[in-house]
This record gives sequence, C-alpha cells and structure tokens, in this order.
Amino acid sequence: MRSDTKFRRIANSYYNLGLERAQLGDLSGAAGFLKRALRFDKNCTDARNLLGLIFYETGETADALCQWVISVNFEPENNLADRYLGEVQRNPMQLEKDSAAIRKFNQALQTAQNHGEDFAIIQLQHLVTEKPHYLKAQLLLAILYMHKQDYRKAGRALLEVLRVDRNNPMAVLLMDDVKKITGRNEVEQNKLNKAFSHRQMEDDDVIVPGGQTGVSPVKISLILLIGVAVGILAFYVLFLPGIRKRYVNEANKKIVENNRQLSSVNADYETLLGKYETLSEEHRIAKERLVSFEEENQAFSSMYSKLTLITENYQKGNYREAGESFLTINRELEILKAEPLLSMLKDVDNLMYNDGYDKIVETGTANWNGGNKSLAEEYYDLALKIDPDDPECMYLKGRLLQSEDRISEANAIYDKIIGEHPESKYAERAVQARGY
Amino acid sequence: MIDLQDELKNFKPSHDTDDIEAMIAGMDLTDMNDLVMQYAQKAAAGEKRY
Repeated sequence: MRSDTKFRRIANSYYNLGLERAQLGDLSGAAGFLKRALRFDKNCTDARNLLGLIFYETGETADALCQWVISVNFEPENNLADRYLGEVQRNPMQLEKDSAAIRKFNQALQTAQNHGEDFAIIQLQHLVTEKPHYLKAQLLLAILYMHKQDYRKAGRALLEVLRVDRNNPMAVLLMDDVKKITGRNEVEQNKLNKAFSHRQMEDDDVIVPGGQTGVSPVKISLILLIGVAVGILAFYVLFLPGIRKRYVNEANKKIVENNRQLSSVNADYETLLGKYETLSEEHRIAKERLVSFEEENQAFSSMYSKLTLITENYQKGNYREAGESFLTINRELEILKAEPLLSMLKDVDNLMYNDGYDKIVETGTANWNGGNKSLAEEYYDLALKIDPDDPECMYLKGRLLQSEDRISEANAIYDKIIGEHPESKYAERAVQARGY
Repeated sequence: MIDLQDELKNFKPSHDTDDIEAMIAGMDLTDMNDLVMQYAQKAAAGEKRY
C-alpha cells in the first residue's frame, strides 16, 4: 500500500476516535485524537473543522478561527469552516467580546503572578459570569480559590469545567484534591456502598401473610343504617335541649363582652395613633439609609471601575492615563478601607509606585530624545506628582529646563536636590549642572 | 451562534480506515521518509507549513 494512503487511513481512524470522544463530551480526549489525525494528514478537513469547534466551545476563539482559516485554505469549496467563519464575521460584537475576554484573562493571569490574587479572583469572576465555557479562566479561578482555601467555590468552578469537558485532565486532578480535602470522597463512597449493598434475612424476621376472609357487604350496610338512626334519635332527645340552653347563655355573655371591648377599642385607638407616628419616623430613617446605601453602592462601583481602568491602561501602555487616574483616587473614602477594594488599592499602589512610575519617567525621557520637550516635561511633572521625592526625576527635569534656557527654574530644582538629597549621586550632578 | 452539540450531527465517521496499531506497527523507515519528502517538496514549492 502506498504511504500516503496509509497515512490518510491512519488519520481517518484517529478522526473517528476524536468524533466519538466529542460525542461523549470528552473534549480534551477528542482534541488529542484530532491533532494526531492532522499530524498524519493535514488535509483531513473534518478533523480540522471539528478541532476548531472544540476550541470554540472551550473559549479559545483565536485557535478556532486559526483552524477554520487553514481548513478553508486547503479546501475552499463545500467546506463547513466557511459557514463557521461567516457566522463569526456576521457577529462582530461577539468577536469583540471574545477578544476582550482573552485580554481580561491575560490581565488576571499577570495580576495573579504579581501576587494580586484577590484582584485576579474578582476579574475572573466577572469573566466566567459572561463566559462560563471559558475553561482556562474557570481552571485559573479554581486554582486561586484553592490557594485561598475556599474549596467549595473551587469545586463549583471545576464542576463547570467538567460539565463542558468531562475528562479535562487538570479539572479531574484538582477535583480529586478538593474532594480529599473536604472529605467529599468519603461521603460519595458511602453512598455508593449503600446503593449496592444486599441485606440478608435474619432468624427473627417475620413474614406477614397476605389475604384474609371478608364480612358480607349487605350485613355491613344494615348495621351502619341502624347505628345512624339510633344516633340521630339520641341527639334530638338527649343533647339538643342542653345545646340550646348553652347557646343562649353564650350569646348573652358575648353581648356583655362586646360592650367591654368597645370601650377598650377607644383606648387602643390613642395607642395606635402613637404607634403610627413612630412608624412614620422609622420609615423616614429607613428611607434615608436606603438613599445612603445607594450612594455608597454608586461610590463602590465608581471606585472599582477607576481601579480596574488604571490597571487596564497600564497593561495597554497608556501610562499617562493610568498615572493621571491614579492621582485622582480619594484615599479618605471609607469604602477603600474594607475588602475587596482595600486589596485592589494595594495592588494598584504596588503597580503604580514601582513599574508604573518607572514607565512614566521612561516615556518622558523617550519624548525628550524624540524632540518633544513639552510632552517630556508633562510626563516628568506627572511622575513627580506621584513621587515628589525622587531625585533622579527631579534631575532629569532640571536638565530639560536647562536645555530650554529656563535657567532659574532649573537651578531651583538643582537647589532642592542638593538641599533635600545630599547623599544621592544626583546631588553631585546637580552641582555640576548648576556650575557652582 | 455556533453550538458544538448542534454541529456534531454534521460530522460522520470515515469508512476509509484501518486498524491504527497494526498500520503503525507495519510502517517502516521508508514510509516515514516518504512523509518527510512530501512535506519537503511542498515546502520547496512554496506551500505554507501548518
């Protein structure tokens, strides 16, 4: 047999295995077989299209599009991949959402790697709410929950993964750990044992015999009729007079009681009036609290958005926007002194006082080297607002002013460096730059 | 909206197959060389590598 025929058949066999796995919900297993199929025959269109679908289902939109584009390239006519690509193109909003999801995941991953676990968890929670099938995000969230020892939430995230991909290797491994730690595996084992146990009869067990002889229906009806007739006669003769007398006495008592109650109702009315006024006051206070809560909620949302935006701008390289936003944070707000905003603020401070600050200064210097001195000065000013005591940035600004013949302003900065940071290497440079 | 479960019905198993293990076991160096040569020729002809 020719080699290419052999390879095609091997590829088809792997494709069949992959299709079977996909139909059973084992997407990881299916993807493995389909990739093998493509290694043997990269023209195996069905394998490639199905692999793309699996990527799409698990939130890997970019990989899915990659496979479908390649598929259409190999087989332009009568190809399912063409329809898939058309559907994606017809819905640009969805594509934008998928791209944003990937960016958010990358951002959360970076945040987690920089010890910002709490912030990363918040980002991932939003992400998986919008895209519950994004398996990588669910897995990262589960790992972060396990790191925080919140195994219930970790288990829920892993369950979501296994619903989509029932044999996902990482999810299976992590779920095993979660079950061991929470004792869930023992509970499940006990349930399994009980479901399949067989109980044997003991010596003193009693078997109740079925079936017994009955009385004639005619006799039963006759007995019942006689009983009812006797009962009615007894009621009229013995009980009814007594009941009538009792009824009259009770009616008289009720009249007396009603008169008494009427007089007490009037007294109650005054009490109720007082209670109404108290309740009105309580209602007014509750309403004020509701308004205050709504304002606090709005303040929380606003601050959450601001902190998220600072991080996003930094990630995109918009250091100026990140810095300017950073300076507008009102640190006196009470909402910043409690979780989760407290942790978020710590992460943002860590970012902007270190890498963020350095990037702003570097951008200023890059603009100076590029000939844009006014923009360079703006960046240096922004950096100095974040950290007013940095002698290096002060020196750079001084040199910039000096290059524009703004000597008195430059000298004022040099004097400040010399006076406030005499031990810094920039003090000596400032002396040299000043010339005395 | 592309749904995997809906789309699976468009995929049918292939009948042009054979036992994988037997076929791979029966392959020799010549077969692997053929595969490599095919890719090399296609690359030389300017075909993109995927």
